[in-house]
Amino acid sequence: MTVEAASPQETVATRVAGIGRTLIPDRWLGLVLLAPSAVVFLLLLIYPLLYGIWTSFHSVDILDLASGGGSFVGFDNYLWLLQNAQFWHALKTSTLYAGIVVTLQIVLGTAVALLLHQSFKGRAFVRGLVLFPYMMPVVAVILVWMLLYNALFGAINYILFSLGLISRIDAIAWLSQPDSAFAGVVLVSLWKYFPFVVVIVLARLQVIPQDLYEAARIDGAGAWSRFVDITLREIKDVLIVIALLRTIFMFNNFEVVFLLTHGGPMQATLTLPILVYETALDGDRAFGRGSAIAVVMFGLLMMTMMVYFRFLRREDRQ
Amino acid sequence: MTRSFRRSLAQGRTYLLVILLLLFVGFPLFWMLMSSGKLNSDIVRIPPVWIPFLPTLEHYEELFEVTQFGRWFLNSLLVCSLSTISAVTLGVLGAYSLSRLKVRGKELLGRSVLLAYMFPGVLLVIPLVLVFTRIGLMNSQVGLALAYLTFALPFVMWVMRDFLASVPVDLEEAAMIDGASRLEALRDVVLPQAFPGIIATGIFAFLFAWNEYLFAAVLVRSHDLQTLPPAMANFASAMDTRWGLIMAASTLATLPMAIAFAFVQKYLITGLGAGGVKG
Amino acid sequence: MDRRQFLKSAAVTGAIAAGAAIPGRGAQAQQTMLRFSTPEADPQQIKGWESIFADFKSAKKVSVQPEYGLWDDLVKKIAADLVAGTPPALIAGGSKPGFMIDLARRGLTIDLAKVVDEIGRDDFDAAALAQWQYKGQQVSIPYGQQWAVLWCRTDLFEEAGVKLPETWDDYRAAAEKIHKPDKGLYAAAFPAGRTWNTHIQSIAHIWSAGGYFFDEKLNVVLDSPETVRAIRYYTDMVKRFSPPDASSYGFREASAAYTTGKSATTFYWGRVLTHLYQQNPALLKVSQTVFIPRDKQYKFGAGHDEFTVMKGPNSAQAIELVKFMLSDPDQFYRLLAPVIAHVVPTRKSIVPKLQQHEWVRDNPRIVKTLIEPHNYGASDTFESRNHPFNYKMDAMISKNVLPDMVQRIVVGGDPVEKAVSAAHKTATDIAKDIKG
Repeated sequence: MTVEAASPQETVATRVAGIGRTLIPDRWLGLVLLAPSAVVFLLLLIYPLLYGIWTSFHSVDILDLASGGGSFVGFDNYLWLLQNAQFWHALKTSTLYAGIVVTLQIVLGTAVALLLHQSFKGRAFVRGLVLFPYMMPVVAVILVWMLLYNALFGAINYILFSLGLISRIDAIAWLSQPDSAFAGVVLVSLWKYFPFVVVIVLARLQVIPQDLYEAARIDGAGAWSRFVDITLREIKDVLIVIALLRTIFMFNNFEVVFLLTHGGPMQATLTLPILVYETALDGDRAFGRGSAIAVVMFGLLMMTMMVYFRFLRREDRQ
Repeated sequence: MTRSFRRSLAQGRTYLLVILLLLFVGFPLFWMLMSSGKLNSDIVRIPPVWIPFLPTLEHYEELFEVTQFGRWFLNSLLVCSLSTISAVTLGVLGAYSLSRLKVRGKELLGRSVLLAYMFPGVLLVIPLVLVFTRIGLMNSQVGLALAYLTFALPFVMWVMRDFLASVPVDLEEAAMIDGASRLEALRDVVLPQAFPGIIATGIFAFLFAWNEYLFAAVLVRSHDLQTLPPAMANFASAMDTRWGLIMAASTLATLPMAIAFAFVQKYLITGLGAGGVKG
Repeated sequence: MDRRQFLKSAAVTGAIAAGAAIPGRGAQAQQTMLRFSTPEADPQQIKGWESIFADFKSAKKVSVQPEYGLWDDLVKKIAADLVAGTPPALIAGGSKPGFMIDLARRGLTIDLAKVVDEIGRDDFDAAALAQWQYKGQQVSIPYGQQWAVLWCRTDLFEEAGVKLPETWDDYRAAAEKIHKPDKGLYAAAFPAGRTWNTHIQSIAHIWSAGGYFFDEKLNVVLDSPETVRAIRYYTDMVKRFSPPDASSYGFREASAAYTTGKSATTFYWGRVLTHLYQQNPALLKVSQTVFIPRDKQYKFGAGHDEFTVMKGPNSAQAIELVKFMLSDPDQFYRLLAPVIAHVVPTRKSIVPKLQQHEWVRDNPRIVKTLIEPHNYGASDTFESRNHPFNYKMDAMISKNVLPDMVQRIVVGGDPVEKAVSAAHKTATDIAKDIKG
């Protein structure tokens, strides 16, 4: 690769880019490249975070935040939380929800990515279509699925009925029974968010060197062992990143569940973000307690992340 | 079993799976599209109206005659482009630094970028309002784009870090021995290799912003400045749901994006031209 | 387009985007505008607001900057505004008396008693005004009110040979004759979702039986025989006569069950009239409304749409706008027109104007109970005339105490007494922590 001596544009580009080598040593360059991101994080992330932690030690109505009203209550909010049965219930629900949805997303997403990595007619179209659910605004996703789930005039029940699988159109009330409501919420979350996994994995599959496969084939490796030894090993890192990001994201997801079921029936879909909303932003507006729930959620995710990093480090050492 | 028979069997299996995938992904989309062209009375009819017999454009007409849909669409486009471009630029540079250069404390920063995701948005938004008021970016589209950076940037950095790590260092070193500076090597050697990743993360940074509701609703208030998700949400209040209108709006919010991304996604493949890693 | 071009054009787009965004902001910072916030934000309703603001601008030379959002987000947004130190000047249609009075208790709102006097106190519905008073202050001025009624399919009642119900017993007896689930017809649609609607309807039944959620000292008194009786009836009607998915019903599902012809009756407000015109005009001829069937007495929730003026630099203009909308009958009418017969004007002199509307004239059997005044209204903040302002009820609503109780019986199969006493305990725990 050589520097082309050509148009004035190129020269400018070279001069600007040139500072990397001549003026700023790599040691500084690293910092310079990270600095803008660091500023964004400090201002828009670390500060709000500290603010949340700070309010979790106060008893404060959200309307009094501005006037600095509210009093320091030490660990009261946390004690309240530990004794609150609803909190434990919501913690369990959230963990189950996030765990199941993320697992399904990764399995389905990877499978679809592998499928779309093969060549077939209309592949570009299918690849485009798979992205659709991720693009659809959440409100619209919820309303379409509510139409489909509806027990009186929904298409799902109508199809099941037409196929003779249920005896009456209204035989299944999807969002009205605890188990089927939970499953219903999981299905919508899967449908809406799995394209995320597909595209990232698909992109990663593009950069796996083909000669690895050639070599394996020459060595007589079968399809399955090629998949495990090459594909899976290559995409493993990105899968772990996705798993982590998705777990955090689903654990904090509010809209899908709230709009579909409001946490019902029988609180079967009452997740922690909904509890935060009910506690901090409506009703008695106990912002301190809401923050305490959020801080606990934060701590749990932090722990998950640390386990993950430990795991990574061990991998690295190997 | 002959080889060609086995191949066509595999082909058949592929197509079968693709059809299943299309049904799963496509049916709700089909339903959205169909509902947007149905009379309100037909949307909730049983047996369902599979293909609207009397297609109506009334919902689309209402969208443009009664609401400011066009304006919201442009607002969304603006905010999302702004936040995506900043996120990808900052994120790729940051990721490069994390994966290639020695920076003290980079591991700490690398991890802390994930903090953004760990705190529920509903509580993040109040202190964000404080910050934005202070710097004069409340009720501003630039402010909203900046807020989206908190989600998009960590994501781009994290995924790109892995992508950049998968680009062999020797290619880069070869370029630098040839006289390229580090940034030139990044631009000419590393980025082309990581291009599928840039496109993929860019798509998601964009779509995250395209879909986001809460920040958009709280940080930008004026009706004229609003982006699509909060503006559309008004079609479906708890009391009164305008099924047809919201289906028409979602069709229009989804379709152009899908077409645009169908175009962009081919870069997932063709981005690999230059490097020669693919063998 | 190769990669580099692609990246370049992306960068250019970004620069243009940034450039275009900044002037938009600058232009908006130059003018002071009257900030107006409302969750009454249906597209047709927004049209109505815009035409009022256009007239106001040409009359008083003040521009209004409207902010429309979801009702669910109202508290969040006002709180964020207060944190930022920039509350909207005028809030319309919040329909949360507890919240508005909480704002007043912090001295954040303007007493509107004088405005009522200037417009003409005698013309206002006194009971409606009283719902929004706190310690002698008129915290908000209600401009519209509404209450749920029972929508009935007269054809199905005639077919079954029963009259439209007045009491719980009537209703249950009629339901037994009308209910034909194997033909896809349900007699009732009692909401039992984890929703606000379930709270509204179930507390109205408790009141009808003579019970209360709180006593006059604001202690929780949910575990009364009256509550047990009301909830037994309510959940019985859910289980026996409502559609199988009633335990996910909020507002929209309860309306849809009726407008699609699936249920013979439903509790709903006047909005169903609009829904029928849009979705199923054939049902207009066979629909009639009656008051929600009673036990000991008629008593149900009266909700309001109201104006609240926040203290701030633009309060004076906001008061001007309120007067402009409430004094001029034409402007007032614009507040009611988007959902006809759903919002009943609080000024008596406006009612005749409403009655001239074609839909109102054409459907006397439907609109009578929706529009004519009555004495059966109560509210969450004042369960009876003897109750003081109840600052604890909002928390009960947001934490879904009553819906959770109903679901424990309907979905979980708990005995009524057990569910009621569990709800009583939950409510007591929540109330304990709320400071007065």
